[in-house]
Amino acid sequence: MSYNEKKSITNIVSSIIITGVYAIIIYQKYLNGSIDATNVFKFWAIIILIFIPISIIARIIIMIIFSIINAVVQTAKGEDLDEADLVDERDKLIELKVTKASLIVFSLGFVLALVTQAFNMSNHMFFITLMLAGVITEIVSETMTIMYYRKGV
Amino acid sequence: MKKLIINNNVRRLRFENDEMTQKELSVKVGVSRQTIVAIEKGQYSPTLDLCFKLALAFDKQISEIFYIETEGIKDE
Repeated sequence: MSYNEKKSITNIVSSIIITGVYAIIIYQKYLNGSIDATNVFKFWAIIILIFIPISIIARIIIMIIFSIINAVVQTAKGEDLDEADLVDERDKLIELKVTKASLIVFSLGFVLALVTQAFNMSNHMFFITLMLAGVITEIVSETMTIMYYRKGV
Repeated sequence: MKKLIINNNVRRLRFENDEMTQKELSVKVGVSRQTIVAIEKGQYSPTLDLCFKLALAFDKQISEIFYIETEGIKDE
């Protein structure tokens, strides 16, 4: 398995874990009444603004741990270390195709979020749909990355 | 429009050049070893820029490295 495939699998797992854990924590706080949810837009603005730095920091930490473990395992096996910092034309082409697909998936999620409002569902549903669209986009894009690296571009 | 199936002699040319490894070739042309693997397997068609770099690395014409599978022309 190449470095990029391993990185994509790590990204999928970390994305699910980070979002899942954060959602559980926020939901518990919401049930306890420790978060003011009277203003739905303010409530979600705070949740998302806190989530962004937490997500970035958690991903950086996970990627550092992944790189260390990967290097240790490869050294133990006597393999050449992965060219993690080298991005060539094939990587750029795959990234371009995956970015295009990601935009389509997230756009569909956004439209679905608008549909929830058109059918008079709660405002919470709009933001939940958007968050889910983000996670699904991440999973789809990383899965496509693995597929392109395995089956070719 | 017909879709061309492009094949290559990279693997053979590597062995004809003092059994050059995929890693050595990747360093010469400035791509990752995985890209060389993908080219050899026919999973990736390189850009013209990389084709010329491969031609320079092997000291061959591009047509001696890449060719069209005559029986592999498919309708798109």
